[in-house]
Amino acid sequence: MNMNYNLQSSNLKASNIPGNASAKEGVKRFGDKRISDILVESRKTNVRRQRIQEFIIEELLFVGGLAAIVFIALIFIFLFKEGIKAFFLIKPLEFIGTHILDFDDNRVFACMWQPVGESGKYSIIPLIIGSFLVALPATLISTILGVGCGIYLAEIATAKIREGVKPAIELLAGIPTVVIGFLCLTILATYVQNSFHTTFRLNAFVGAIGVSMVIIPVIASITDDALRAVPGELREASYGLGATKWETIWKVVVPAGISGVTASIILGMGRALGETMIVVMATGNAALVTGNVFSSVRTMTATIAAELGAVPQGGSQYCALFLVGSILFFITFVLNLVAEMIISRMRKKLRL
Amino acid sequence: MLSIDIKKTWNEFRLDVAFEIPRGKITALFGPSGAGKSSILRIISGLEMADGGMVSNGKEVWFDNTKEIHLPPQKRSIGFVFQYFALFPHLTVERNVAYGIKENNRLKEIKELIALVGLSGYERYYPAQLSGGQKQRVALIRALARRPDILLLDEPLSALDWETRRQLQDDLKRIIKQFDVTTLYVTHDVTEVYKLADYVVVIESGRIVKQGTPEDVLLGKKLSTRIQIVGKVVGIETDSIMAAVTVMHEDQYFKTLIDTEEISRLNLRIGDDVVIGAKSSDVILFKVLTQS
Repeated sequence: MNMNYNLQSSNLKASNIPGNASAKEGVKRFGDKRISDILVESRKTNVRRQRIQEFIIEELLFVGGLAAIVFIALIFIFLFKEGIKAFFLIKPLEFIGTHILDFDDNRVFACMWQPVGESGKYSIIPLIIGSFLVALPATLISTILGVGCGIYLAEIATAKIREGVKPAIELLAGIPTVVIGFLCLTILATYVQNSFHTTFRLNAFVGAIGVSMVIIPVIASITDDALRAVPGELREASYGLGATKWETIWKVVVPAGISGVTASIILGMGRALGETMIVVMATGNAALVTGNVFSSVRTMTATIAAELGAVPQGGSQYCALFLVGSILFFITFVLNLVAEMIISRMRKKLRL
Repeated sequence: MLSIDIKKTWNEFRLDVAFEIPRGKITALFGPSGAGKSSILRIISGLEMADGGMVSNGKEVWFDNTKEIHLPPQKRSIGFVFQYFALFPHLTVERNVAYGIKENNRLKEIKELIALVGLSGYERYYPAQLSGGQKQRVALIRALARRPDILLLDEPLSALDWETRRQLQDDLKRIIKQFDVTTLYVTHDVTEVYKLADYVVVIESGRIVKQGTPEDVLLGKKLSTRIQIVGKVVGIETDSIMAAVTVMHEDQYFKTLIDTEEISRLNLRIGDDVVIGAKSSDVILFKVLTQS
């Protein structure tokens, strides 16, 4: 900003001085008519300069926007290039499950992620289930708390309380996830096990609580912004029509700001799926196919983080991990795309 | 009868007004922007609180500083119409209208109410699908649907174009008379005062300058002419005896001849608001006194 401003002012000076100088000369040499000509000319060069300046700024901004797209595309290409190799090294069916012998020597079809050993098993089903078993409860918890908090901040809290609470919530988002993971592992896990009498001390639910600590601030903050963007007149109209504060919040403010609230929830879910450190530390990392949130799970992110550093490059496990990464990328990409579509449709409908 | 006595101070600005609004009439609150008209409306409705004074609707006290009474807006029997409509964007027309109706047995009336403002068939439309004029009609009937004692309109037509404005002025008067509701109408448009108001209170920088019927207040005399056209002077052509004055009324032009002496007597200039009155043969031109 500052740079641009300086650029503009110096440019103006540069163009004004020669213009003035020639105008002064013009008085001596050429008389009235000539001065006006020169002034017109100098204005023309001024306009041209401004156009060039605008052009440069526009192009810079365009390049900035383009860079983001190029980076995403490059990540996409790189991930998929490595991930696709997995299909040449491993049979496609094995990504779902393999036939194994159970303890009674019966051949059964099992979905297992067990890449180490003489015949690696690369079923990604337990990893996807694990990811969602953490992300969905985490999204649920943080939607309830985060949206509640956002509504409180935007509609109920006095300016003074808001000034204190909002930075505190944003500070929560700044805590290193490893610290939250640490808390989950040592304190929260014990507490959860004692209160729910779970088989596994580290489980998806513990991870979900930890992850929700990271996404509550995201949801609360965006919800707050979205609700504060709802025009004050709508609230006043509602009061004027005999509605109480609660009726106004539930029937007018939240529905009118729903696109922002939805965006915050989906964004939160995206972060929950992508969160790594907390789930590595708090979910137990056992790749089980289960629907129980109190069971240990292994998420896609935790698998990549824990294994990629220790596998030989180009091997089948290496490529399988890239495939997992590609799938994770694809899921979050689709999630964001759908969110964007829902939001733009809602915006259109709710246009004031 | 709504009686108002309001004192409120902002940084530099002091609002101090006391007046009464006659029941069942349309009272215009007229004055330049920044005179404090909208604030008066907001204080009456309870959206804002005054520093001192009182507001009472008949025997019902809405605000009394000395007794520390301050009824919230939802407890006051008001209907508020905003300049920018303030329709709920997520609700259809009929649900917007239904918003203020608390009694379930009255929900049947909604169809009739919507028909009253000429929007039959639009019940399931969303505000985003309506034009400005249609939106303001919905806002008006939404405010009236709960049958308020007092209808408050804050420059309801100033966000609309000429054509729509003219149509709505007529409809507004008809509907308000039909509901027989005491109305306070904030405007800075002379034509609207003249066309709609039974009574006018002129406000300038937080104080009442004068009040009375529109004719008394704006012309300083009674008009007995049959036809009256309010408009702005857009052209004056003079010679030594006669002058032709062109007046723009909404989107039409009227030209009238008057004595040149009259021009200087009225100190008539381009941009002045005037009323052209016509009896059987005479055409008379009156200058509107907007300045005190």
